[in-house]
Amino acid sequence: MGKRKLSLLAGLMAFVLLVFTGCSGSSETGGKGGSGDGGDTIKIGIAVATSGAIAKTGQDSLAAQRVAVEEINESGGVKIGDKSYKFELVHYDTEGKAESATAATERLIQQDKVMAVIGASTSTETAAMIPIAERNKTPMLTAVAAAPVLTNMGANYFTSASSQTIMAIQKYVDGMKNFDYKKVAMLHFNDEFGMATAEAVNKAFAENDIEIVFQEAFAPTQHEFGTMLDKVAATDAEVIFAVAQIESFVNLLKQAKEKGIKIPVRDGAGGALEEMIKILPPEYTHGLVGGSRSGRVDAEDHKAFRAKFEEPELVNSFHYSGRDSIYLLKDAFERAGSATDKEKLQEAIRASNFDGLMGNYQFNEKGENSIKSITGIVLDGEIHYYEKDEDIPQDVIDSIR
Amino acid sequence: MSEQIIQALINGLVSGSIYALMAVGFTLVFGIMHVINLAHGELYMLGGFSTFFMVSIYQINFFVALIATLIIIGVFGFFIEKIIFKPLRNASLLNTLLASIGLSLFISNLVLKLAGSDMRNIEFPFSGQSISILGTSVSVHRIVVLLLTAFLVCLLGWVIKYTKVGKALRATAQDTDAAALMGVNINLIYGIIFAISAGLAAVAGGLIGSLYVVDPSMGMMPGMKAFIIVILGGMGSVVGALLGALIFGYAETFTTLFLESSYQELVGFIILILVLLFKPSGLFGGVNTK
Repeated sequence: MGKRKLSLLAGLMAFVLLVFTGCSGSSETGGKGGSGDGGDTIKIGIAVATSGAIAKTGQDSLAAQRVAVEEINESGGVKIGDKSYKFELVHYDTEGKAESATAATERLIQQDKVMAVIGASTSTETAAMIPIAERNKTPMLTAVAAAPVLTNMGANYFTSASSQTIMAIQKYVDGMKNFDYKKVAMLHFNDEFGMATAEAVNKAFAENDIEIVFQEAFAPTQHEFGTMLDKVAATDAEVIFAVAQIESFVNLLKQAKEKGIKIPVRDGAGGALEEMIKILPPEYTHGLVGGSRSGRVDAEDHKAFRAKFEEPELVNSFHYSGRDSIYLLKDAFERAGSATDKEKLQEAIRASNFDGLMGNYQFNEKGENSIKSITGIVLDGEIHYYEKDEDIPQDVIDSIR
Repeated sequence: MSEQIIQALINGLVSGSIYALMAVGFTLVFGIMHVINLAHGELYMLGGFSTFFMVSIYQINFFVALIATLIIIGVFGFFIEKIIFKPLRNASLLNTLLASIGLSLFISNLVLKLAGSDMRNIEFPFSGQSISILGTSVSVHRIVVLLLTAFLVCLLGWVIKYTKVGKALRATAQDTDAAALMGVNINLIYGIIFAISAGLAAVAGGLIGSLYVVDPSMGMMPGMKAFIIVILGGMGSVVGALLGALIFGYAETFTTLFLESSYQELVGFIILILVLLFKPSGLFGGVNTK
C-alpha cells in the first residue's frame, strides 16, 4: 500500500474515531465552570436513545435537559447548605436497546459515579435499567417511558417523572366519547409500553361500551403497514387508535392517507404532534387528535422555555418533561441537604411537591405521579390545545368526523 | 377477504421489488468482488436523503431526483471502492467485512450528526391517488414504485447480458485473472460494480423514502434483510437475489395478513435459520469465496 493511500486510510480512521467519540457518550457541564469529580459539581447520568429507530424522543428530552442544566448553572447552581454546586450531565446512547441501556446504567453508576440516573426512551429499556439502579441504591427517574409496569416493579429507587399511561387512559376514553366513536381499531407496539397501554385501554374502553373491533401488535422497527391497514379498512372501525412512538406513527399515518383510508387516526401514546405537523403536509395530519403531554402550553414559563430553542415551534412534551426532570432533581437535592447522600436524595424525590412545566409533581408510594395530559387537535396544519378540563368545541368535532 | 388477498399480492410485490433492488446490488458486489458490504443499508439511507433534499428543498421533479440520486450515490459508491475496499483487495473476507461495518457506522453516525434524527417526508407526485385493479383500489404510489423497480432490474439485466461492460462484468465474475489477461480493466470494473450496487440501493432508498419517511436509521433493517435475501437466494446469484426478494416480500406480507404484524420482522430470521439449516448454499447455489 502506497504512503499516500496509507495516510488517507489513517486520516479516515481518525475521523471515524473522532465522530464516534462524539456520538457514543458525552459529558458536559452547562454554562461556565464545573470542576469534575469530587469538586463542586453533581453528576447526573442520562441514558436515552439518541440514535437508532426511536431516537427522536430521547434527543428532544436530552436537548431540554442540557438547556435546563445550563440555566441552573448560570443562575448560581444547586444550593445545598452554604455551598453551590453545578450540575454535570453524562449521557450515553442506549440506541433503543435494553442491553445498551443496562450497560449505560452500569457505566454511569460504577464508572462515572453519578448521583442519579434519568432514562430511558422506551419502557423496555427502562424496565431493564431499574434493577441495576435498585441494586446500587441510586435514584432513577424517567422523563419519557410511561408504562405502568415500571412503577409496578416495586422499586424503591425508581420514580416516574413522565406523563404516565395510566393518567392518559381517561383522556382517551373522553376523546372517544367526545367524537362519539363506538368502534375502534387498536394498533399498538409489541413492547412493554405498547402491550401495557393496550391492556389498560382495552379495559377502560370495555367499561365505557366502546368496542375494539380490531387489535394488532407490531414491532417498533416496522415501517410497512400496508397489509395491516388493509385489514383495518375491511372492518367497521370508526377510528384507528395507534399506540406507537412518533417514528412508527408518522409512517402509519402517511401510509393510511396514501392508501386512501378514510378512517381517522388517533394518537394513543402522547406523541409529539408538533413534530408530526413539521414532517407531514397538512392534508396528512388534518383531524389528528393526540393526548399531548405538554401541560399549559400558552403559559409564560412555557413560552420562555421554548424561546431557548432554535425552532421554538417544535418544542414538544418530551422537551418539557426532560426539562422538568432536571429541575425536579435540583429541588430534591436542595431539600435533601446533601450532594453525596443518595438515600436522602431518593427520599427527597419521593417527597417532591414540585411545579414543573408539565404540572405539579407529587409521587405516591410506587413512585407514580398524577400529571394529566391535555388534548391537541391538528386542524389545517396547526395544533389547537385543549386544557385538561376544557370541552372540545362541537364545530371542531364535526369538522373531523 | 379476496380484496385483501389482492391487496396483499400487490403489497408483497412492492416490498419484494424494493428488496430486489437492494439485494441485487448486494449480491453483485459479493459475486464478483467477494465483499460482503454491510454498509449497503447506509447507501440506501443516503439515497433517501439525496432524494429528499432534491425534491423537498430544491423542488426538483421526483423522477429527475431519482435519476440524479442514482448517479450521485453511484459515483460515491465508485469512490468507496477505491478508498476503502481496493486497498483490502487481497485481504480475507473477514477484513473487508469489518471494513464495511466500520463504513456503515461511519456513514450512519455522520448523517446523524449532520442532519439530526429528524424524520423527513419526500413529496410524491401522485400521492393519495389510487386505481382499480380487479375491483380493488390500489395506490398509484405503490404501482409506480413497482414499475420503476421492475424497469431498473430489467435495465440491469440488459446491461449485464448485452453490453460490453456487462460482458466484462461477467468475465470478471468467472475468472478475474483470465479477464485481466483478455484486457478487461479490473480496477475500473470493480469500481463500476460498486457504483451500480450503490446506485440501485440509493434508488430503493428514494422510492421507499417517498412511501415511508426518511431518517438516519432507515437503512438498518433493509440492509439486514438484503443480506438475508442474498443468503436465501445464494450468495452471488442475481436470479437468486430476485427470487429471494419476492419470497421475502410475500412471506412478510402474508404473515401480516394471516397471522399478525408483530411476526412480520420475525419471518425473515426464520427464513434465514431454515436456509442455513437445510440449504446453506441458498436456492441458487453460490460462489466460492477466497
